[in-house]
Amino acid sequence: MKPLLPRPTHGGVIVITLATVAALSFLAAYTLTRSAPRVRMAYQNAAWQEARVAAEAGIDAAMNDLYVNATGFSPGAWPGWKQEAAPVAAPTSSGGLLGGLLGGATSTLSGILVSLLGGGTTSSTTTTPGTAVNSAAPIYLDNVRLSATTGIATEVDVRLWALEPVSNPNARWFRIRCMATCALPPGSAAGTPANLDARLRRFSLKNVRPALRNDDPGRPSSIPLPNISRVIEILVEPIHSFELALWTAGQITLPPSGSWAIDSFDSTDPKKSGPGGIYPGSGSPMVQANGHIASSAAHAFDSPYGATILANGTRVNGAAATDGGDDHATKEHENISGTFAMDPARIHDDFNRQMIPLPRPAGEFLPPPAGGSFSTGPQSSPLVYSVHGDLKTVNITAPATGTGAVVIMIDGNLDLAKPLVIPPSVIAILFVRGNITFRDRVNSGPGSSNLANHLLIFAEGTGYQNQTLRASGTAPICAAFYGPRTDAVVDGAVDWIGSLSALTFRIASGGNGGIHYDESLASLGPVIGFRIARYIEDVRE
Amino acid sequence: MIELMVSMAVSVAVIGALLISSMAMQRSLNSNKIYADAYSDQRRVADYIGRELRRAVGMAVTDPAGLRTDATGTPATVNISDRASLIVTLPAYYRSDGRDDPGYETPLAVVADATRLDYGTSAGLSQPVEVSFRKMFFGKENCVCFVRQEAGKDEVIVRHAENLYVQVTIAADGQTGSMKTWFRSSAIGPAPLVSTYDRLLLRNPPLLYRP
Repeated sequence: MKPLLPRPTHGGVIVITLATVAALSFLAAYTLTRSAPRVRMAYQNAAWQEARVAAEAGIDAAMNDLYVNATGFSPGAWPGWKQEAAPVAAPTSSGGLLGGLLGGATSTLSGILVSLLGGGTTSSTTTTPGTAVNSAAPIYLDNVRLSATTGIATEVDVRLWALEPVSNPNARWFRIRCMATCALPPGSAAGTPANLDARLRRFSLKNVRPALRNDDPGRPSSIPLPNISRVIEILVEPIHSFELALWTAGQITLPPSGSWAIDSFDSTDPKKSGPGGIYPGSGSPMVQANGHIASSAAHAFDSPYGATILANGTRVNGAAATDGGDDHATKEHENISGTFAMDPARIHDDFNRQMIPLPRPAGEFLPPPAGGSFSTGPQSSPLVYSVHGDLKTVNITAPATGTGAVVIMIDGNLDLAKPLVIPPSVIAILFVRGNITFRDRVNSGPGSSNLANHLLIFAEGTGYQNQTLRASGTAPICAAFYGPRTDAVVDGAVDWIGSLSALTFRIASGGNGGIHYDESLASLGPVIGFRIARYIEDVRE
Repeated sequence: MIELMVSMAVSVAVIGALLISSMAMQRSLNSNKIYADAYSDQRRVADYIGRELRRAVGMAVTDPAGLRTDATGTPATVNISDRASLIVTLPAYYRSDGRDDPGYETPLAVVADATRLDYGTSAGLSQPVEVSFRKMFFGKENCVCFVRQEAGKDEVIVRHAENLYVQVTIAADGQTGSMKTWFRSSAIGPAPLVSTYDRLLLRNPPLLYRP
């Protein structure tokens, strides 16, 4: 009998090992196969959300450039933007074409001043339903890369149009349309877990959807396929400098005594004003309740609640708003004190608006007249004077015919002891770098227009100290004033008919005066900001 | 003989472990699928509603009896189910709401009226469009579905939505809202799983007052 040789066992171990590894690999592959679509879906959802955030970021960038280039007296150069080569009419425009935005189509001083005066009109509310709108050829930002928080490659294309109602070219709106494109991971073209998702998220998997090419001016998007695009469109309304009865960048202090009040009227509406469009008087039924006041004063981060408008029981016939300050957990309005004479429903704390400086148009103009009386030019070409010093008297000669306009740029103080007479046929615009003092009637009484839209005053101090505006006495003042660095102090007996915007506002004493806002001022003056009037996501493109 | 017994025992143990682990993995993957599908449905509903709320100019809810309440000035909450629905008013933007019309994808012109610019025609500013969200039995799908209705046309956004729940709350200011979606599944557990919660800021501002 032969002894049995030991049988080799290595082969069996290898087989068992390979079988085990194969089984484990199968399980791993199966797991990956099952979970990969879920991971892909999560990535697609993230890219879809990211595209919306990116599109809104593109809108924000365009809004910021609007503030830089389309406010104040000097049109900007729109750096980084390109003009579309052909003046293609905007697809949503129903009117004609305006000049291009690039190159400053309205950069002449007279053009600026004409627009300042409302293009010769005094109201923006003269349009009829469905009035056509002129549109500028769009300008655009091309393939702007964004740093997405998720790390997804993202790019935006932004287009911007200027829109003007045919009947009122002064009311220039803007339309901004932004397409954001986000990358999807390679392999996403294989499909989505649920076809219902594809209907919502509208991916571009193997080809770019044709409709999206309209929103991709300039070079085609560099985001590779597959990707996802979302399109946001907004309409932007201009904010003019005299939109509110009283607006401050700091605190408002209203009088603690007397019957001082804020209300409104409309000098262009015979039903809302007295004869000739004048303020009808505080007891008149023509008086309106649109005398809005607001403070942009910000709160410290460690004391978010508190009053920035000290109403002191003053009657405000309009809304009152601050930038925060109200604790919504309480019934009281902490943002405004002494509100017992105000309508609680018209108190808000969501006012967020920056009072930007408005430097005067650059240039050296006519010297002050030797005879002391300023002349006017036609509205389309006002006479402009440069006064390098103080001015203590202002006499303006009315034109022989028609309405004349004059611009006086004062480097020093404007200190008037006597009445400032603005004839009814004159529109005066004053730029003042020093302090302003009124001790008597200003554009009010016999011989004056008694209309605030005939006297626009811009305080534009450039020194370290704030300017002051002091109005004392009992005489009315009919003017629209804008001074971001001006501390305004007004006697309680003064009736300010028009609009007043300053750094701070304080009533020096009790009295029976007030601020009587002329609603026709709302669309006059330079643009100081913008607000979104309509937000659309184009979900069918 | 002993070696054979040992090797067989080890083999049985290994194969058994593989079987048990594969069954556990299968259960896990199944639960994962249920969870992922439900989460996908939740996400889709939330994204649909969020998309509409962001561009809304008005909101309303209907209670379980179908009575409508406009959400202006007072907070409103709705658990979308049966006749309790969310109604979102969207600004007019497209020339047509008929899917087969050539103007379905074409925006309206920008026109002016007495106070503002907006989308419309020479006849005036166009009227807003209402979109509603409902959870109901949908005959074409033969199941309970989440349905988005715009201009009278239904669009299923979630099928088999029996265990999917959506609650939308609109704040009193009419400018902010929140949305909670959750689902129940016997395969995972009886407790409701709150999976998504979104807070929303409406983009279209109220122009009812100045400032």
